[in-house]
Amino acid sequence: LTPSDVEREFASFVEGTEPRLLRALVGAFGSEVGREATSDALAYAWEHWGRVSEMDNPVGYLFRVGQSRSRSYRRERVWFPEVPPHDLPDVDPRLPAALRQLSRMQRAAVVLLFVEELPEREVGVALGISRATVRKHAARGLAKLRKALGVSNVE
Amino acid sequence: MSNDVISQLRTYLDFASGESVEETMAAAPSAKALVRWYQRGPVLAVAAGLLVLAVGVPALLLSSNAGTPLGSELPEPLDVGVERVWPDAGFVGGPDDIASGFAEQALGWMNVETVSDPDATPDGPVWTTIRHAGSPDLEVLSVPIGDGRRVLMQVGSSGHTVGPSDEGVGQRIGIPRVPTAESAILHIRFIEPDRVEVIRASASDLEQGQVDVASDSLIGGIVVVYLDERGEAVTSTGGHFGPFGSPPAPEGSSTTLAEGSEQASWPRGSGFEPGDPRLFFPTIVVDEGLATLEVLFLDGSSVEMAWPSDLDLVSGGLRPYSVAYMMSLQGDHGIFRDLTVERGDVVEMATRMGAPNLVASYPDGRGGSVGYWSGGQDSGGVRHLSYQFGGWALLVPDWPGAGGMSEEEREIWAMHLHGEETEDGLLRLTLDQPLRFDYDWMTVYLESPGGTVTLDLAECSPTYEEAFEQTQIWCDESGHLIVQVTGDKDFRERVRADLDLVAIDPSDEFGMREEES
Repeated sequence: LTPSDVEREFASFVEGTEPRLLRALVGAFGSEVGREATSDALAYAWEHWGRVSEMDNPVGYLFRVGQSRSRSYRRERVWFPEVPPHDLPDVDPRLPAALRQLSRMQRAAVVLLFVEELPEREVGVALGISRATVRKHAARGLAKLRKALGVSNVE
Repeated sequence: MSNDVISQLRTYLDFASGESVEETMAAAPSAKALVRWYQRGPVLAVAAGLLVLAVGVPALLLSSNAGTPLGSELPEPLDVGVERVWPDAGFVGGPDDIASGFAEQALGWMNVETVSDPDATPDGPVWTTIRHAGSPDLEVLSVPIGDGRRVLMQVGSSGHTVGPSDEGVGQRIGIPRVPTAESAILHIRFIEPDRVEVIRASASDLEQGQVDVASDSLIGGIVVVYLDERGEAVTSTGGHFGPFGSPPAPEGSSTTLAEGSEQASWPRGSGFEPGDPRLFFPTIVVDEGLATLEVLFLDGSSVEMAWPSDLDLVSGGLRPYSVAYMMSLQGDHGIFRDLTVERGDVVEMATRMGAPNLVASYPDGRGGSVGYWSGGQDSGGVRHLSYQFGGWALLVPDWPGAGGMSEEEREIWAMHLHGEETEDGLLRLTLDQPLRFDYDWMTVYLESPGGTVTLDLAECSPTYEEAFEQTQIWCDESGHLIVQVTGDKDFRERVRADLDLVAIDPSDEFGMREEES
């Protein structure tokens, strides 16, 4: 591959990966830290492109990188913006407060497993926990969200 | 239905990914990140440029009144520090030497007269007055950092603030007004990526008392040099922010490495070089070639470690670290605070961290009090609640304005955070409701010439292990401890092979937290 091929490859990778990674890290660490961590994780991906480009599913791996780098952004709070009713009419305005009630591990597990639909094994590697624990965190996190939003516990 | 919840969550996270604290950004979600990428250097600028093409975001988002970017007419960047003002690497000499050195290197003042506080302890914090013909006296505070070096912790009245820019991108730096100045040079130390940028503030900026910078990177320290109409230094202010984690090892610090090892330095996990008196030096039991030590985390969790006594694991000292939090009294966000601990006197520590003035005192509920220290009149810098537990000093940072605590919230932190020095000399903290430990960060750093061993209390998969750069990281078989070794290759391999974590005893709070989660 020529340098320009690599650059095109990476740009394509970012286009496909960034939204998912951003959702996952923002979900886990809040809007501000999540975006910082996403930026760092993608920078890491570029710096280690040879290795990252070989991965079947790099989102989980880069989530871990972002999680690690998030330690550099020790902000005073996990911040989720309020829901603007006109822009997001289908989103319950209680959702930000509900997210804050979850532990970081629960938020991360819910987002990676249910929103990004990563396999349990990938989520476990990303979070450094067993598959059983992934299921536990995700289930409890989702149950808390349902309860906070007044959604019945029915699939 | 759960699908409704997930669908809402996906929609909401897409929205939240593009939000800033101060205002909704009209630009694409990645705009702020891309600006930061441009500042990472030429390699990443290539990637950022590609991203601009990929998502169509305008790249140049400098605010309208941003300081002038570094140009040929600007001076070389000063060695501004993190958690210290200048120089980051330390200055060899006493209080008068570093004051003269700062006057010469930062201000261009030669042959100044310096007068240090005669009542100050020579090996402690010292205020020194710099006298220069035609300029008002300038006071600087220096502290020793070992190895015959000192650093400046404050220059002049300081009073810098850092907050979000009104432009939605970057940061706004508040600087004190100096009536006789026509312009100013700002030396700004950014944390990630690590660099010092030099910008010029115009007369208009000075009148407004603020300068915008495009970067969102955390700022570690600032030196402002005020200039008259001839471009000569009138006075200076300097302050620092933090703590943000581990500052880089001082330049020139030596680490003993095995022959052929790959690199001679790496960031020290504890933030201190081995042997620094601010670390704790535990008593290690050695029996028939086996060394053992019980390490205590701040929450009272303990780990019993064993290793061959010929492996130097902790001769350089250890330091615990954690984070605590409470919900704000309005219930709208968590108040997370670093628990920065070290051996020594808390007044000296607060002074060294740029907060030498006791401005309030809160009852601790046990007949004592907790001091609240500030950087001085109108200081916009960090403030600290200060605790002394035997030979351990603990600072809980605070600051005015957004994210800072109210009077009532500070009273709660004073009343509900307690600690004791154990018989072994280690520190155990007790947090009462509504304070809680943040178990994402429950850490002990062990220092030795070969490297840093970091123990993180955390739930993890016993099969987890990875290695990168100078670091080996793995989960202990108990599933309750992540071990990280950073150092030279021989050290990493020996620690991985020979360190035996005999018994891990998580605290009740850690256990309850796991149960709740």
